[in-house]
Amino acid sequence: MPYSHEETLESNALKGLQSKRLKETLQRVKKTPFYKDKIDINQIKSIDDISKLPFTTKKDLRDNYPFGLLCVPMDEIVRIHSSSGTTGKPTVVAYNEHDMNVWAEVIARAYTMAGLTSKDILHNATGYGLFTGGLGFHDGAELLKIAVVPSSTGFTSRQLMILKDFQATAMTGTPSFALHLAEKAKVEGYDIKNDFALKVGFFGAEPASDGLKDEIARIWGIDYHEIYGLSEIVGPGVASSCKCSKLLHINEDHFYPEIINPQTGEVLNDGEAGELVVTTLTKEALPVLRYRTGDITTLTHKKCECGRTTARMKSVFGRSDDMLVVNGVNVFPSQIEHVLSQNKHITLNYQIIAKKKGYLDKLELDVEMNQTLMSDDISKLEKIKKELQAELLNALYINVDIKLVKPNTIERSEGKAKRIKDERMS
Amino acid sequence: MSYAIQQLSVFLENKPNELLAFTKILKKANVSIEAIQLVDSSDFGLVRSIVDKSEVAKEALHEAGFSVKVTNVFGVKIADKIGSFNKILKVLAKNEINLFYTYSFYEEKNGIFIFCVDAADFEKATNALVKKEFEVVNSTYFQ
Amino acid sequence: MSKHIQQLSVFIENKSGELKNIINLISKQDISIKSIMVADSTDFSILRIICDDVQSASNILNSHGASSTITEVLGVSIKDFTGSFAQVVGILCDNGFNIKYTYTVNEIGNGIFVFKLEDNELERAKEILTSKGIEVVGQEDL
Repeated sequence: MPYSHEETLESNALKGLQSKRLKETLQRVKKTPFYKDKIDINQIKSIDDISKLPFTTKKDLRDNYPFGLLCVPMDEIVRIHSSSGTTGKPTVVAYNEHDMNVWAEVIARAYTMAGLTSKDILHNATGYGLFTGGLGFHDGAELLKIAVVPSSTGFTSRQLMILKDFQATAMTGTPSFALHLAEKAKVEGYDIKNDFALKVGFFGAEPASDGLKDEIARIWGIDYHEIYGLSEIVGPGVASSCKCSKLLHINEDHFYPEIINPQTGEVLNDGEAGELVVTTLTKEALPVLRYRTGDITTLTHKKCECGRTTARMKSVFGRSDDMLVVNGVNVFPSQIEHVLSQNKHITLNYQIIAKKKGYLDKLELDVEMNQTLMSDDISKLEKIKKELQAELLNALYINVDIKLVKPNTIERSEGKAKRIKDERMS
Repeated sequence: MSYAIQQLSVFLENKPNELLAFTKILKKANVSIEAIQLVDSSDFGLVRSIVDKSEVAKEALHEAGFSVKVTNVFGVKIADKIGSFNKILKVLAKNEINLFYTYSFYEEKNGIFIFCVDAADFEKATNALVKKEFEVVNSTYFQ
Repeated sequence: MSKHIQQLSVFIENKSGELKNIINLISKQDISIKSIMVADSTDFSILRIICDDVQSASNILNSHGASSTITEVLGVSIKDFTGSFAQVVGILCDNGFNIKYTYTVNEIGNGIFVFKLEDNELERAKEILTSKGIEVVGQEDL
């Protein structure tokens, strides 16, 4: 049985609810300096008029860093999260108590779709901290009175030990981590089928092919479920998969989806691939209208066997920009460029290469040697590399391998430089 | 015909007098240094040396608390330095030998170039050079 | 002797053929190379060359886009290898010099040891060694 009755509304009732909530949202945002002059409330009679509203982009959030888009006083705010920005500053999101309840609810829907109950134990191997992942999965579990093990990321050996000892029945994480964990389990002599009690896994934050998902399900002997989300909308929980297929039910009573042509902004039909745009219908602290996620997918309104009537999306299969996902962390090449421009030793002749290291992703930054950087002192060169690595870790939250390459080897190009090479297979 | 020359690699902290301590130990053990190279790296140095009594040297260094590794390298005798060095590199590259490092030193009337290649490529490298009529010194040359 | 030994340092990636390409460039000119030493690090190496015409070598390398720099190093003539090397190292260490790296140079008749010290320390080192009867070798002596 679905967690919320809104998951099974017939279409008129759903439309009515969405229209009502959209109008309430517009009342909330119309006073903000950002949206005030951009919207004409009288034009919006129902949810069907939504395309008359303007888009909101990551740049808008950046231009209003940190709290310029807030609709409620800080007094009401109970949580602040941040995620990858495109320059030196992160993207900031904030929640009041009501928003936190919505967030926990949509996660609880996802867990319920997979059959979890209060009897389950959830091994939460998603990163805790400023990112919305870890805590998002955590709060939703507590709502269902599921026992949460907040193991976060890293320390793989210890994770395997407690996974076995605590006999968790469900886990969260990225698909690449699931494979990495399985490989580590093998190396450390665990018997995957018998040592662990896992029945279900919730994976997301990075793209994965159907084949890869089936492989993970097979290796671990679990049901593979995907949870999709982004901080700017709420965090994980915007959509999740049920038992019927790999498509994800979008919680469209809270987050209204559209697919657009990323070049023209034209709204596309079901089945047509384009950029996912999401409007928050119930968020109070930081509502966003027609937020451009940058994720490429398709929508369908076909009936689902599970009985839920909410629209479904395919698992994200592309980006409309140059963002990379590295072990579940979003990385914008412009962030790297920002760090390099501040570093006095490095010129801007560089290339970012995304590689696979076993099952995990690895980011390598090739930097050209030049006359200014050149030195006879190897330790000095190594030190410069180490410092740059620390600066990048601080900005991106991931480790980047720095490699010095000889002069004039990195492609120069007119216009937008070909800065990124993604050597990973999808 | 064995061409493997035992090169000792010793880890030195970047502290004053570490190199001196190393040379003193060898002197005390009456070990003659044929070739020596101290390479600087990030936070440590690596002394690579070819001595006349490598087992004795290893013992003495171990006892004094140094970390010693023995690597097989090979040496090529060269009368005229540049042209031949270039030719040697060509032979190695043609045979797809991965060269880790190289250094040269003076020995009586000759120059000797030392090469350290991937252990898996050692035989292939020495065979290829011998075939091209280079004089690869045999392993007992320095003893 | 007026100048200390001028050492040419060249950046090379740790890829096959890189060393060969650099050596090729230099050997095509009429430059006599006295010593070559490759100091390897993680993903790159520094090739240290002592030759009789460091400027020409540097020019040919730069015109082919290689990154290089010229460093002054201390050259010490050593007659008997074992005893003298330890002796020279001893004198340098006792007088507070930091030896960053060292290697040998081919020269018919003698061994020459090259020492890289801190910048500006070469003159003082030369004075002290000379006062102890040890011969310091300069660029023109090669």
